[in-house]
Amino acid sequence: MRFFARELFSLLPIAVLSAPAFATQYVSVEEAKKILFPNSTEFVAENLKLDSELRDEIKKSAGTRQRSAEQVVFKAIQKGKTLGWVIIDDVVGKHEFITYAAGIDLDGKVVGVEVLEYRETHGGQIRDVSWRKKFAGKKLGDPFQLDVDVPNISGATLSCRNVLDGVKRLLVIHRLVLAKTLVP
Amino acid sequence: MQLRRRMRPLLGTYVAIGVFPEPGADESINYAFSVIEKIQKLLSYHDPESELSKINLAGGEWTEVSAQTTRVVSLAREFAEQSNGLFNPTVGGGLENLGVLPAVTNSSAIHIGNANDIEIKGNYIRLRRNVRVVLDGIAKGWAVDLAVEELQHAGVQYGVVNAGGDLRGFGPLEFPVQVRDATLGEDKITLIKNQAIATSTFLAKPTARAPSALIARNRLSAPVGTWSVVAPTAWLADALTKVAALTPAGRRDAVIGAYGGNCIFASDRDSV
Repeated sequence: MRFFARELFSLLPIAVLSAPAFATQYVSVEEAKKILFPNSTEFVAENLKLDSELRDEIKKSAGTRQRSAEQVVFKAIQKGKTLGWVIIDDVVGKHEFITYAAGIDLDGKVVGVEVLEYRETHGGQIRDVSWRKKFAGKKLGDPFQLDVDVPNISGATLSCRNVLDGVKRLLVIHRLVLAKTLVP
Repeated sequence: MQLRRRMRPLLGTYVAIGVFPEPGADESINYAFSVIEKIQKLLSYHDPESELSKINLAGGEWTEVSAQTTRVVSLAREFAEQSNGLFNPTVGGGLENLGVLPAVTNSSAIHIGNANDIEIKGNYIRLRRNVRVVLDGIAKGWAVDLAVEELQHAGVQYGVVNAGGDLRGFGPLEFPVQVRDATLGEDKITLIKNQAIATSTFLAKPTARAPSALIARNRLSAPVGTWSVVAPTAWLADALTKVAALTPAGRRDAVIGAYGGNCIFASDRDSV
């Protein structure tokens, strides 16, 4: 994927880009749905509106705040039968948001978590301009040379605690809201 | 060129897998992720139901474990012996005392043990003394190696697996890796081709940013800084960052080289 930041890089002096926000795209919402529920024949959008009372209840059970009054939800259906739900959510990583999708089945179990977009305030792009040029020019058109725009970073480990807490919160939403939408 | 990239929260961090974008890539990635999930289930110190925890909580009794667990524990024990204890998987007690790891029981364990404390007979493992085995110094790298093997078995031509900074490229790919930490000063960049790199940062006090702590015998103070090691496999690169941190700068290249690795960045040598 090309990023906005790349165009920015070529236009602005380096000093301005000392702390660019950049995002790495992984899967799209459409792809995430199919990955989490591969046997699903259709997905129906059933976004949730969560009033302040419900958000308080969610916070009490989950331990983390339900920031948004609206939650993007898709019901996964296979030939008329509900298999579960795909919920799209955001949590804060180090400084910026991480968007992810969680699949929850009828028993309230997590069937999978996929990161959609991972944003960071610092880094991503190689800041050393001379290195970028050196690498880009190394073997022009080499098919085995990876795009320098997508960062490969070693060190500065980020704990995934935030997404795990987010998933815990989504399970509370399932228990308080989604599970009750099923006709017995 | 671009890879087909996917990312999941695993092993306490974010694991990204990128492969040659062809039909079937996602299925191969699914298998690779499931292999990593299995390692997490077996070896997590944080999970009281993991096979590792069963060993630690067995009170010295023999515990039957899966072949995979036996492989990793054997490897950790062997490397501990080979490195004369510089790499030490029996520091769980000490890490619990530091608050870096959650206490698995209410009783306190021995701060630091040695390789001899781990006994292995077939797929049975027991601890000779009340130490706690922790595989954090090797498990992420091991999971990366397993994922790479899985992808290669699936016929994937090339790709990258990155588990929270323990990274390995396979196939003819060549790509830059950025190592970034305040203790290193400026960004360090290296080119990776068909090898692994791991980076460990140790601070005076473990923090959320650098939660690792290094415990070693006979040391007046723990090392502080960042060490990056390149090696053919991720588990070795992972394990060698600890050895690198505990080896004086003057001897480090020879020591790491003897194990088949290369300490490419060290904050006590390269920082600006």
